[in-house]
Amino acid sequence: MAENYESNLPTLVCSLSEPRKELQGTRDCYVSYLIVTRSTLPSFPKSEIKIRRRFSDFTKLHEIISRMYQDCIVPPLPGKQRLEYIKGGRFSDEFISRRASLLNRYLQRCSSHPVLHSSPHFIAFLSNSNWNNYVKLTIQPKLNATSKLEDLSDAFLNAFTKLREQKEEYAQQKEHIQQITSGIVNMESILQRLSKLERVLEQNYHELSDQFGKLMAMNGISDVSLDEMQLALRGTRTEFAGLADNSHSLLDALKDIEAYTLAYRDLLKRRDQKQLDVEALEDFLVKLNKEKEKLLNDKPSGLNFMKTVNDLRGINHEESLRKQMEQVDTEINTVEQAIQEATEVSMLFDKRVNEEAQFFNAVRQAEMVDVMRKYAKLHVQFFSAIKDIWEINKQEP
Amino acid sequence: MSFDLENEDTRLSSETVSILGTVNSSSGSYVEYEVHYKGHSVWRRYSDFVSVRTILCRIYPVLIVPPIPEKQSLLSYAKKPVTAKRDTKLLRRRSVLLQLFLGQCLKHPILSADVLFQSFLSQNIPWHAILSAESASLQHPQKEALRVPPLKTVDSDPYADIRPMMPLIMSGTSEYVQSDSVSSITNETGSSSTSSPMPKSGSNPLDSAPDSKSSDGIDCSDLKQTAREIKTLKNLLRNDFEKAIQKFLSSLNKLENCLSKTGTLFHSMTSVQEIPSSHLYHIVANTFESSGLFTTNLNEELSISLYEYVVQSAQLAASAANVFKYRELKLRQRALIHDLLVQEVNITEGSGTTNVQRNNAHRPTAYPQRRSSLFGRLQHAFHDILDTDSSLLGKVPTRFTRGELERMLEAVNEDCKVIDAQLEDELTFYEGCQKEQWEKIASAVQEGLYQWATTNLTCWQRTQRELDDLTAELNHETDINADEQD
Repeated sequence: MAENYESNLPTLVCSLSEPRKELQGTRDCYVSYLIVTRSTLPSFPKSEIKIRRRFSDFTKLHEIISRMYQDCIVPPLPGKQRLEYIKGGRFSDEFISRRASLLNRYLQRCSSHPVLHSSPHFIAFLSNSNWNNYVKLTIQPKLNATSKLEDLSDAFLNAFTKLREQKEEYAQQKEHIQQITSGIVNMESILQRLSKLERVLEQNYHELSDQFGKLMAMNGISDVSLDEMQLALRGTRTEFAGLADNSHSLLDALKDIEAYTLAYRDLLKRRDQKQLDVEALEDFLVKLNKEKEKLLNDKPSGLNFMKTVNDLRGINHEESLRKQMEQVDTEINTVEQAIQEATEVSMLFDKRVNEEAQFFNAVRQAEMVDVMRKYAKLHVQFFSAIKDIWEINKQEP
Repeated sequence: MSFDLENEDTRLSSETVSILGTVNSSSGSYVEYEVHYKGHSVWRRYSDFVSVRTILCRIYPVLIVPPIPEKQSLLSYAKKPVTAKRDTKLLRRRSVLLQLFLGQCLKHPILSADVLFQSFLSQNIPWHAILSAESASLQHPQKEALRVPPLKTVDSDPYADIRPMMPLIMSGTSEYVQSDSVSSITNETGSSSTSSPMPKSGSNPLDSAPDSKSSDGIDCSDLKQTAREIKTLKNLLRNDFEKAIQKFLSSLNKLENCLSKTGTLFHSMTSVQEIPSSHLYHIVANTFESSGLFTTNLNEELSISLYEYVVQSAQLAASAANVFKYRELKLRQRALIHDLLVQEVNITEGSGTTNVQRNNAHRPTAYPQRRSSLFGRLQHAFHDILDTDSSLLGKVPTRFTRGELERMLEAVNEDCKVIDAQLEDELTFYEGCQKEQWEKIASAVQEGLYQWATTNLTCWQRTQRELDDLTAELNHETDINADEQD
């Protein structure tokens, strides 16, 4: 799925395969996956690198990217627990193969992303033999607990604040996302129902072939064609079983696209955040200006309590007033500057969001087509096999 | 409406029968099937078929008469309150099975030669008219069948050689034989010919006592085995097999529903604004809809060629089982009469018995008495005859004379000979029918599934191609975009 840009644009193509169980038998057993990368990027150490990574390496990469590239739609990582309901737990072949295909999709998305594919962290992930070290040295200091707390508190504070200005295009994008996710959910549910029916049919064919077997043992019906019929029914049953098994990987892919769409929604939330920041500052500025107004309009009057208090204290009222004005002015200046910065940030972010949205929509649609292609291929194989089974039978007189 | 039904009968290719279609009667209240035979068509309704089969079964209890589709049960009426004449599926089903019935009957040498059956096929008059005409000339054959005819017929009785001499009208509780039939034995004694040996001349009927070998040399235990196997087959088919098929067909039904719903879902998603997605959903929607249609076709096909034919096969086995049962009953009758005769002989030869003693003679129970459930149809006939001759009520004799018993035993022996002579042919006929039937079933299933697979394959292949094209389009666009980003 790696997009092929123009040849003079540096490319990065990677693929994931060959899951292997490491340290089998010990308590620290884990599964590693082979990643092969070919790249013409100047920052890439060699033109081709092969490296093995395990799932926790992926999670660290994901954490880094999520923090560092807030203005990107970060591809989601397959959840740790999500596939665990499969029999056999996390070391069963089925689980491993499904996880492998999901991790491959993750890599494809990163490697085709205009920003992420040249990220030094991503490149390090693909090439650095001591990933853990890299993580510790380069990134860890920045990932300290306080910054987490700050993010949290910020998020909390503004969680219930609504945007003052609902920009039309982002509202539209949100609606679009809603449409996409509900469509995917519907697709998933009906394809799951189909898959269940396929399993039931498998059972039916099994029973039919048994019944035909019993029939053959009866006299008067000892017919050659029944023997083949039974075999054909068994064969059909196997095909149905295969179809139902393979449909799983496609349902996984659909869920994955759904998760990717949610990452897009998260980006929009972050964009809203930036806008909120600007608006919060602007509101603060308004407040400050009002205060300034108040101070300016402060005239000596007999009823002025503060003046009386200050006189009592022996503070020069005009002097304190002047000092207050100075403070407010400084604050106003800071805030105005902050507003300017924040607005710039927000506008930049908006631009990035639009770029990301464009990339995301293209990728999502391509992925969806790909899912359907694989589904079609599966069915072509299935029906072709069944046709062969019953064609052989047909040739009997 | 007409159906495309081809009769694959090759043995009597000049005498194939087919049901060309159905038509509403002139009054519009029932449906008639057009039976085409030897170039002519007659129109018969379903109840005519029921009637002719009932008659054939009664006249020829020795023959395996092929089954016809069952009547609508109240339950199925309740499920689907559509009258038979409107339900196209039912009409099709019946047409197919009725044609099968006629075809199988034609293959049977005796059934096909039957006068009544022939007129059913060729005389284009209403069936009830034929029946009344026939019965006038043959003295109510269906009831006559159970009277004992003259031991040697002078007038042509086409049923004579097959119709049993001895009626099987014995209920489990009494050993009385219908006095009417007894009186007809005594009445006809005078006209008996030399072909039927009288007890005094020639062979002693006591010699042909029930022993392990039947008169025709067919091994009894072998026959028992066959009878058992036929019963097992019937049970297997009717229970497990039918259930498995029903489950399968219902799964197909669910599958076709699900596929069409999937198609609808994808169709509803084509309204999305992005063109590639819309195109994608459109392609996928069509695929699922087509797939649903193919499954519907398969379901329709198999519900007749698999389900109905299997049921028919089970019914045929039931029919065969009935013949075996009849034979059983005949043998028992023979044994019973034999014992009575022995007893009678002993009584008369051990002289000096009074009538009282005779009346109090111990009635042997050679065989365990069975309840009337075994004799259902025949009991019905019993009541039939009773109805016509109410004067017989209460006049059933308690015993018979030795002479009577000897003649009865003769008649029963003749019957048993007839049965056994016919049995081997019947078995051949039965096995032939079953074999042909199952070959048909097998090939229909093969054809059906092959078609289903092929049509689906073509459809999904086309989808695959369209999706490949779509992918190429998308990639091309992305390349263009990438260029622009340069």
